[in-house]
Amino acid sequence: MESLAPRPDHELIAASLGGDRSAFGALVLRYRKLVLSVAYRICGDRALADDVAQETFVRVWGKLDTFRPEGNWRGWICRIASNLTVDALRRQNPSVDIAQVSLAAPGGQPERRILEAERAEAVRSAILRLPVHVRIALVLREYEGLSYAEIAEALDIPLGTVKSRLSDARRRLGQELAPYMEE
Amino acid sequence: MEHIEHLLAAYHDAELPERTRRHVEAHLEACPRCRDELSHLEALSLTLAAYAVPHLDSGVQQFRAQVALRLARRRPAATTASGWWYLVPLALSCVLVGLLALFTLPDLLRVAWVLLEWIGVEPGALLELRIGVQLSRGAVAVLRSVGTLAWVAALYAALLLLFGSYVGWVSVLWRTKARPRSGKER
Repeated sequence: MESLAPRPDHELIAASLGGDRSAFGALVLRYRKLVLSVAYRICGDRALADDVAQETFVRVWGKLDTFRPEGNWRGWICRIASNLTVDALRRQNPSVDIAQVSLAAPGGQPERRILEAERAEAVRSAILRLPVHVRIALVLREYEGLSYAEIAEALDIPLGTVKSRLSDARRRLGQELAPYMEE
Repeated sequence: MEHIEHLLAAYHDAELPERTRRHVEAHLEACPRCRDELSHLEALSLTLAAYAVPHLDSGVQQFRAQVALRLARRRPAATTASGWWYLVPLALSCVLVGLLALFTLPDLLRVAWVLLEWIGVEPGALLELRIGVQLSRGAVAVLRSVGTLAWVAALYAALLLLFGSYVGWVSVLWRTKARPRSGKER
């Protein structure tokens, strides 16, 4: 069977538009981390993020014919993922799973691990306390590396709003996370 | 010295144009306060990196399978025919209505003429009064023949346009069915 992995996105998108589910499966594998990461960092719940990520791809499949070929694919997916995460958050309260944070902490000395886990939880809590629209802008910039213009396009907001949301997020997080920052 | 805090976030995010970026770098060389501010932004980014997604690399194939399952359960989305094809029948209908209105105008005028005569108004005299033209019986007969011909032509045009609309619509449906979303399972 021919490998679909090296095919560029636009080819996979075009094939998916024609109903090729294998091509769409390749897109799912390629963008799974991105979608999962966006969803998790907005909602803070791994199980919910997984569900949202799956629903994101189902939604992407259903809306593929509305994607403009000249558009930004990553930004478009991030937009759908963040919107669905916000919808999911509205439907249910995010639960906190401390065990997952501990598992995610890097290895090393036990004390160091505990400190890292504590810091990770502090960051997670601080991000989850941000207003959701501010949080989304921060996640897309800090974790997914989208440019200001890409965020503006993904969230359908002016460039100035992106800057002000990022500034707001960083100001709040800078204050809250000051004890954990190593300058 | 004028500080440049308002540019530091964009500098940190590599969002500044080349010239401004060089200006910021030159300023940072000489300004400890702005350097501290930038260090704070960088430290915050490093701290935020602690918020990792747990088990990000596990369950990849399971994830793909679950998405595939959800897609299978979902009724394939109807592919909308691209472009303006849907507007073709609408446009043809508008043209049809317009033509009918145009071609039936003489008949409508004739009916109006008869009605006016019936209630005792002399349309010929009115026309003479308003525009100073007196229509002869011959001219009225010619107008009536033209109206009849136009009516017949409009009828044929209407049938033709209806048929054209139908063919257009069927071709759109055929195009939609020709590329089903679930058709190319490999």
